[in-house]
Amino acid sequence: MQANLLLPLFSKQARRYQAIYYLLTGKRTVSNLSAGLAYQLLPYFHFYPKLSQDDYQAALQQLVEQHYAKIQATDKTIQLTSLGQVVQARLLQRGFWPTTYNYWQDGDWQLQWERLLLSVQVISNYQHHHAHYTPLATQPLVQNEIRHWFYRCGRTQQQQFVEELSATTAQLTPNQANLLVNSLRSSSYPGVSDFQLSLSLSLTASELILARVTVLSAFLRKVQQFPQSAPLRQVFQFPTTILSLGSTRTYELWRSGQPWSEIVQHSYQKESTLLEHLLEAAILMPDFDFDQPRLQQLVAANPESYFGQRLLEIQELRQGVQDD
Amino acid sequence: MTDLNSTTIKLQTELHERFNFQQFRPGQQELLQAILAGQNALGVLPTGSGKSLIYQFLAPHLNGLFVIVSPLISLMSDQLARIQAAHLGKAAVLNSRLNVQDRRNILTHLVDYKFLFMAPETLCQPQVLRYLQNITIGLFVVDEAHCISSWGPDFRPDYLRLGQVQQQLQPQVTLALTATATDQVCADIVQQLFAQQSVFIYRASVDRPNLYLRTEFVSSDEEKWQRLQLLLEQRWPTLIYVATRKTAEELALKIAETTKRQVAFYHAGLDNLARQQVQQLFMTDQLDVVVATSAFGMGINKDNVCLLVHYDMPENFENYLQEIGRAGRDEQQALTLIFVSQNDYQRLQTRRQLNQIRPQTVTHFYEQILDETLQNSSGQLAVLKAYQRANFSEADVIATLTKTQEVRELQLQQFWQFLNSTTCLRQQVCDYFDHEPKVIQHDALCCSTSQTQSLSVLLQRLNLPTLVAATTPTVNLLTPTQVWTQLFVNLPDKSSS
Ligand SMILES: [Zn+2]
Repeated sequence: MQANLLLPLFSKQARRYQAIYYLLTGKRTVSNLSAGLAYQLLPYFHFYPKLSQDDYQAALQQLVEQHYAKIQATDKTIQLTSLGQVVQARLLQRGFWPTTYNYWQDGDWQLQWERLLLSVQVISNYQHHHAHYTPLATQPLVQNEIRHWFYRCGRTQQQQFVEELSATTAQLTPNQANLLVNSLRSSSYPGVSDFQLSLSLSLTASELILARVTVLSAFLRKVQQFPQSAPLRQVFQFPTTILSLGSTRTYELWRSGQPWSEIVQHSYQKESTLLEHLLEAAILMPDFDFDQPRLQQLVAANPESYFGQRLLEIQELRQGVQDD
Repeated sequence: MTDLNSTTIKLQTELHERFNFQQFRPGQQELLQAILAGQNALGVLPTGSGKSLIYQFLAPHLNGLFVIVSPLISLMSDQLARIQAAHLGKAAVLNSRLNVQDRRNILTHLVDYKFLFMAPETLCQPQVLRYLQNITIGLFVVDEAHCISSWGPDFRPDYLRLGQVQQQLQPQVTLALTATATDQVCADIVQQLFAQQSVFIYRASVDRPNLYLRTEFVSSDEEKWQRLQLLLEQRWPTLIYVATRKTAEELALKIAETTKRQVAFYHAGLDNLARQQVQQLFMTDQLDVVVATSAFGMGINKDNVCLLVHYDMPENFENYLQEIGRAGRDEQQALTLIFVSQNDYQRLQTRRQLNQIRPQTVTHFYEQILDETLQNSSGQLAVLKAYQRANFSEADVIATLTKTQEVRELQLQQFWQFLNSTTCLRQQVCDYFDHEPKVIQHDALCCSTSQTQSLSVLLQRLNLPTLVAATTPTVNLLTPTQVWTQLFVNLPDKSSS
């Protein structure tokens, strides 16, 4: 972990660094998501799923040693020093940090990236009659998806895929397009190593990964404008629901107007869990209605409760975000 | 006799037809014959001698699933990729990186698979064992079997449970494989894994005559770098081992900036796809220098590495031997050179002391007392958890750790002595590992130290094969149009009529 790359996640205000760690590794709890909302870091949910606590702590320590940040051990918070803010601004100016990426809109970038690499590899190798090769995707999920996608892809669709791919790439900035195409490879095109690519672009290895996410995010936004039936569009899976499975159910029942007592009665889960589902929806759903009377009644039933207080916090945060 | 001969011919014909090799490497045939006759086997075969060919070869011969236990995820995914590319049967790696659904999918469809790779801790999970007990296990392979021995430098407590697991799974045959095992380690493997069963043992000599061994004494980091530059002047396919990820990245950068070589680094911090890419480019000579750390060198399966440099020293003979084994697999002359530096030795000592687990830490772990060392070192915590999984008591852990730490210290001393010695290096390597070491006829292509012969003289005399200029790769990035032309046959701008 290159420590300074974490700087954009922090600010001059103190932030709970553990909540940010859990957010980055994709631990979906109301507390972590609220922190994400408060710090405007929700788009980076699940950004580094494999980041270890050790590496993260070591990186924080390094930021402190470089006088970029201060840590409050008692309340486990971190805040940027004025030097840290300057370095943060300079870093963001270099343009590779993925400020536009949004997990809830673009999907898991690691999966999306593998989908892109593998679909290109599969079509290229097929056209060059290479049948035996190692797939450019480590996740069995992606391997299966692209296999099925390829079976459905006739000759015309393959050609269409190539056309859509090159047309979409042409809409990126020249630098973005370069980075994207030089990351691709197949049996007919060996490509370059990440190290060589990063040297050519004057980025470090970790910076290259972030630059890729930035490009990928721009690319995916354009892909999303294609009709559902477009072969390039079918390579990728975009989030259809941003809530967890349980929360989706609870929230749908709630939205359908079912009385809370009935929802609780018909569920196998504890009421407190169901209330957490509502809180998750309050954080993540753009159309969550804070003003509806049923919600007010639920709060009024126990105003001092965890639920009531949390909901109020979330409402304030979301309005604050919208005011920005 | 005729029987044996006809088997030999059959096996060789099959080797040629299925794998397109002309002949077996030492040990492969002996082990195959033993296993085909239903015997358990232990193979001590040098790195690069094609250990994985043995179980690949056996796939059509033994019914049931082949369970392959291996300590490193990277190793498993490399082997998996090779099996998938060669279409030898359905294969999977079972590890913690799989999501619940993929994992369940594999476990509930085990009969469809031929090869299943996993780490010992995964294999020992009750759920995994239950699924495996319901199907036929044709072959149980314990790779890197020296990890079972507390006399080996890579002892892993999880390996100790494999003997018991083997009895539960009742495989038709069990095969233990390792590249480095002294007599003591071999005895440990046999006792732990095969307790009361008979076992066929094949031990190849560790000697690889085409590897030239060289110790290069340097008194400073700067001097080391200068000698390396000398070594990098010719375009020999080169593998450089360093001690840490950070050094790997920094050295690769330095080489890229100061030489004309096509270089990349390779370590555990890279994701799978990036590692695959470095391997692929190195295999096809698009890259001609790779700077790697030891843990992930295993995936590099390249024949024509003719210069192998230990820029930092490994901790023991075992690692040294494994690593130099990556050179000269094409049987051509190769130079293996290790820098000997007092500084490096001190650094290694310091790192070892830092990583040592103190008895007090063990006690705290077992009594669940908050321990600062454990909080700050997930490495130590993982080791202790492994002991706990293997049902070690607190006292046993302390005793075992004390012993392994002593063993490691001794091994480092022996290795350091070797590095500083003036007698034939090859003879010493054979004496250390081989059961019945042969007498080496030292000659001009055997070994030397920088104290008796200068590096430039040596390089002239060895005359290693350089890569021909025709394959000189370009690192200039391509434009999108250039990339599309190489990737796709039907280009968007061409009309498809
Ligand atoms: Zn010699």
